[in-house]
Amino acid sequence: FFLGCGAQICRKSPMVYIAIVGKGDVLIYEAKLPGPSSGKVPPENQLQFIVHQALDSLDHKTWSGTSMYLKQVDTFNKMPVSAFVTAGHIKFMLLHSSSLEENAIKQFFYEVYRLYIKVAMNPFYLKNTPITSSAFNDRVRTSARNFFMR
Amino acid sequence: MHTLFCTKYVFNSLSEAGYGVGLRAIELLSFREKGCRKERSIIQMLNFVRTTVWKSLFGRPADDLQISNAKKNEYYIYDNDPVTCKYISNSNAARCAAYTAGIINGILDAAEFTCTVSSILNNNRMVFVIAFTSKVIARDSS
Repeated sequence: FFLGCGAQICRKSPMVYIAIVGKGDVLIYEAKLPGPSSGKVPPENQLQFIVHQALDSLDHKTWSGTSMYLKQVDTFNKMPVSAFVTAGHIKFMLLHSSSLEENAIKQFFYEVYRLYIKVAMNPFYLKNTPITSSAFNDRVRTSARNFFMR
Repeated sequence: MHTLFCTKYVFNSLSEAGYGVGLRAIELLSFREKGCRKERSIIQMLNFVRTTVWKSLFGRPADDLQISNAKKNEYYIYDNDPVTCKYISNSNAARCAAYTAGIINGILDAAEFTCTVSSILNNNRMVFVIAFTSKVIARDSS
């Protein structure tokens, strides 16, 4: 995991953090997205650790069912971590506030899945490498705004 | 020109090319055909390969799926008429099924069913021998 150079300030701005993790716990994509207004948000340098910590319970839950959307796999200071595992076992993890509706999270994950498939279909994109496409980034942010800012 | 075609390198490259196709095929087909469900057991996964994948790639499901009697980690997928070997006018035509073997390998590896896949011609049918690692078998039986 690459450590971001985040400040120690605990911002109060509403935020949702998404991380896409590939095989071998390699971070492929991460973003802080606009979210519904609610409590505190962990400092930046803790975000990756929180998501990393949730990977164990995620692995356990992946093999207990056939659905891709695994609702909540872990919590950190009352902030749930929701997860979605694709057929190719790429994990989308979302750290958000508990006020976020499950349906909104599910729709958001399906939208990100659609966008991820478009990236993966590119024959020049190697699996498990960072996603650098700006179009992907923009569309993830737009769908976060559509689903989370209500 | 004939000798160049017969080297192992060609068939390994075919396998690798198929691997990339397999990685992409599983994501796309799970989304389109399976309605965002992922498979949990070996048999379910192989049935997915046998029906959905084969239908979308070759237009028909594969002919048969069997488990080996002797070795518990080997499964066989049969294909009577492999498309990749059809129009090759060379004695090594059958080895071109390495491409399809690569596709199967990519699909199973992506779904965390690590295995090795090889293709053998047997009684005029192409057999894809899928050998899973012991970890996968242990996970499947639990």
